[in-house]
Amino acid sequence: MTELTLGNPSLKPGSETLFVAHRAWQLRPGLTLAALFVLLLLVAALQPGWLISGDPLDANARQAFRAPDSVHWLGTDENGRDILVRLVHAVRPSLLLGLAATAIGLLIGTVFGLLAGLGPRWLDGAVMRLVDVLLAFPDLLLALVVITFFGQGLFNTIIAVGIASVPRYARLVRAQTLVVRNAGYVEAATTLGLRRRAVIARHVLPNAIKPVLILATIGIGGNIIAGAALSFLGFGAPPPVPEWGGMLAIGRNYLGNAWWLVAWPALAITLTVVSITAIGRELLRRNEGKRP
Amino acid sequence: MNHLSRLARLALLGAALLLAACKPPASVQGAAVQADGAQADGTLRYAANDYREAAPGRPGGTLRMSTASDTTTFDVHSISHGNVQWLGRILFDCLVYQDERGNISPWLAKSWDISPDGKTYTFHLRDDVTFSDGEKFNARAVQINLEHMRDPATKSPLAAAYIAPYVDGRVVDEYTFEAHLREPYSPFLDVLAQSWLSMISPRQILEAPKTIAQQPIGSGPFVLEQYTRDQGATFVKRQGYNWAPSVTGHVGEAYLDRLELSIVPEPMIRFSTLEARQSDFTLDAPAQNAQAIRANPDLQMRSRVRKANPFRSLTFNVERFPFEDVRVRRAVARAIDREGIAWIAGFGEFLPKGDFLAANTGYYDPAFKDALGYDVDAANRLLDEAGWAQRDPQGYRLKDGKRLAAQLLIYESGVFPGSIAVAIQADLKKIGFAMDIDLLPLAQITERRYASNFDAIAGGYWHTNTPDGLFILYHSQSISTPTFIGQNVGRLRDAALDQALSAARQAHDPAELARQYRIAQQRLVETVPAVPVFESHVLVAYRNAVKGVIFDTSHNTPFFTSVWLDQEAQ
Repeated sequence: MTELTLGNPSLKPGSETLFVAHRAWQLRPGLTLAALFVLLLLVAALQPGWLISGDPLDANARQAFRAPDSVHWLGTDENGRDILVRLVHAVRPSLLLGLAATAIGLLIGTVFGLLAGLGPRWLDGAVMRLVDVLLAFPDLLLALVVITFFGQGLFNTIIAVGIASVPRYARLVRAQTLVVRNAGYVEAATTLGLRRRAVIARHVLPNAIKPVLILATIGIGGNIIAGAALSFLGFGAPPPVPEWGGMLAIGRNYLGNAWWLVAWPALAITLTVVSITAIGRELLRRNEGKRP
Repeated sequence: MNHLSRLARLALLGAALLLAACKPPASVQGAAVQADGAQADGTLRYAANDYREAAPGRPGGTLRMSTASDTTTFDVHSISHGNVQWLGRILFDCLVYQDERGNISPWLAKSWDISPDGKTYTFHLRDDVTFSDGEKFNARAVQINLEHMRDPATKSPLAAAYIAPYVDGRVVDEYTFEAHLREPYSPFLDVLAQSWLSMISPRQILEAPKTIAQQPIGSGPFVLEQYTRDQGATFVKRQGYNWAPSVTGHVGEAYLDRLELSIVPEPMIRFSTLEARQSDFTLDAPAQNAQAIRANPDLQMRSRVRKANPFRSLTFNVERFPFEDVRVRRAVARAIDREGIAWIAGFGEFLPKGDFLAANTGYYDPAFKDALGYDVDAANRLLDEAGWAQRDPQGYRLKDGKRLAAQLLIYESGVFPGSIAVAIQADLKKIGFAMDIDLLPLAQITERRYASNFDAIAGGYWHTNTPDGLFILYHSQSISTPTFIGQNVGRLRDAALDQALSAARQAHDPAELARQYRIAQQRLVETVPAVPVFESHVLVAYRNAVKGVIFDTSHNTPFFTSVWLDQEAQ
C-alpha cells in the first residue's frame, strides 16, 4: 500500500524511459511545447543576449507607446523601450524568484516537517500549530507582511514568497514522514541496528521527499505568479528594472489606447506558468503510476 | 494534456479579441496641443465666458463625479492637496474672488481699503451670509479663520505660508475687519481668493476643530452629507445660498440637488465609467484617453492651465553634491527632453515648458522660455567646463575619481508616474550622468522633502494664483524652519532673486511689478533650482448632458455652483 502511494523508490531502466519519451513526442505535442518553452526560458534567463540584442533600459520618450511593427515586434512601452527585449530580460528575475523561493520554502518546510513527523509529540504539536497559524494567512498576505518588515527588492521578494510557501511543504513532508516511518523497510533498517540518524538520512528523507519535490515543481509556477503579483502591487524591484508584474501594473493604466503594454507580459506569465505546471503534473502522474 | 491545449486556444482567442477590440494606436506627437485658451506672443489667455455663467440653468438632478485621489480631510487649511481647488468651492466661500483678468473682485467681502503703507487691509463684509450650522459670517469669523490657518496645531503646509506676513486682526465692528501685516504684501488679496484659504464655521473651529476633517461646516453652495475615506462623498444643495461671487454671474442656490463624488484611482475606470454613462463628470480625465474622449460625440474634454508654477520634473538640493554646482544643474535641465516627457505623460495634451511661470500667470515674461531649452550638446559642454571631462568604463563622467551621480527620490502617483523618472534617468545617461531612482512611500518622501534630505526630488506642481508663487518656492525665507513648513525644499539662497521677489511683494504699481518679476524670472533660469517640464494642466471630461460648466478664476478648475444637468439630453 505504502509503496503505491509513495511511488517506487527504484529507478526505471533507461530503455524504458527512452521509450516513454518517444511516445510522449508522438502523442502529446502540448507537453513537448511546454518543455521547449521552459528550455527557451532557461536560455533567456542564462544568456538573454543569445535570443535578442538590445538594452532593456534604453528609454526614449519620443518612441513611447508605439504599436507592434517591424522594428519593435511587440511594440514599445511607456518609456519607448522595446517590449520584447524587456520581456526576455525579465525572465531571469522571474525564474530566479520561482526557483529560489521554492527552494527556501522546500528547505524550511522539510526541516519543519521532519521535526514534526519524527520528533516527540510535543514538538509535533508546537510545529504544526505554528504552521496552522501561518496557513491561516493567505500566501500573498503573508508575503506582503514579510516585505513590509524587510523592505522591497528582488531578494526580499524571494524570501517573502519562500516563507509564504513554507507551511504547505511542512504539512506535506510531515504527512509523508508519518507514512514512511512505519514502513517495512524503515522497520527493517532499525532492526538491523542502524542508528536513528542514519535511518532518517538514508531511508525516511529520500522516500518522504520525492512526491514533495514533484509538487514543488508545480509550486515554482505558483511562486512566479506570486512574485508577479507582488511586483504588480508595487512591492517588486523599483523602476527601471524589467519585471513582468511591474510591466503589467504600469500597462493597465494604458489599456484603452496601448493594449500591447499588458498583453505581452500577461501572455508571458501565463505561458510560463502553464508550461511549468504541465511538466510538473506530468511528473506527478508518472510518479503516481498513472502513466507508464 | 487536453486542458493545456484548451488553455492555449483560449489564450489565442483572447489575444485575437484584444487585437480586434483595439482602436488604432495613438498617433505620435507633433500635432498641436488641444488645450483651451488662445496662445499669443508666448502667453496664454482664456475667454471671459469661460468664467461667467452664460444663461440661467435648470435646477435639479444628481451629478456623479469621479476623482483620482482623496484629500483624506476637509480641513482645507491643513493641507496642500490639489483637489481643494474645486472641492473648496463646493463646501466653502472665500473673502474675495479674482476676475477673469486676475484682478480682485468681491465675494464675502463687499469692498476693502488698503492703507498707504500697504500694511493694513480693512475689509467691509457682507451681512447676509451664514454658515450651515447657523453661525453668522462676520468680522470675528474672519479673525478666527486666519488664526486657525496659522495655528501650529493645524500644521498648515500652504495657507499658513500664504498669510505669513499677517500679524493680527481687529474686529472694528460686526462687519468690518482690519488685518495688520508685518510688511507690505501685495499678493495678500490674491491668496485670500484661493480655496485653501476658505472660511470655515468659527463655532466649529473654536469648539470642535477635530471634526472639520470629517464633518466640515462652511457657508458654501453645498453641504457635506456623507463621507467615506478613500471611497467617496455626497454633497447636497445648501438651501438659501445666495452669495456666489458676482464675477461668476450666478444668482441664488446651486442648480444641482446633489453631487456624488467617487474616488477612483484607476485612470482606465474613470474613463470607462464616463464612456458607459455610469458617471457624468471626471475631475481627473486620463491624458491617455483624451483622444478617445475628444472623438466621442457624447463627451466633452477640457484642458486648462493652472497659474503660477508649472509642473517640475525634479527639484535640486542646491546644498548637496553634485547640484551645488549651478553648471551641473543647468546641464541636467538642458539634457532633459521636455517634449518627450510631455508626450509620455500627456499624450499630446500637455504644453512643454522651460521657464518658471505658467504662461497665463500675471507678469509672465516669455523672454526666457528657451534659456533652458533641450540641447544635449550644450549640456555636455557645460559638464566638460565644470571639470567632468573624464569617463568611466560605463560611460559615466568622472572628476577626481568620483562618479557624477545622484539619487532621485520619487513616489508612485498619478501626478508623477514612474515613467517620468525613468525618462529623466535615460536622458541623463546620455550626458554621462548616473541618476538612481529611489522609490519610497509618500510618508517617507514628505518627511525627507521638508528635511531637505535628498539630492533631487521628483517634482509635481505648486499652484497658486499669483506670480508670488515664485516666492513660495524659491525665496530664502521659504526654507523650512522648526516652526515653519517652507516650500523652498531645495534650499536655494540667491540674493538677487530674493531682492526682486521681496520688492514685488512691496509693490502695487503694475510697471514696477512687471520689472521685479522679470528680474526674478531671469534669475531663475540662471540659478536653475528646478527643472520645469510642462504646464500644470487641469484635465476634465464630462457628458454632454452636463451644462453650465464654468471655471474658477484662481485655479482654472470647474466651479460647480453653476453646473446643471440637462435631463432631456440624457
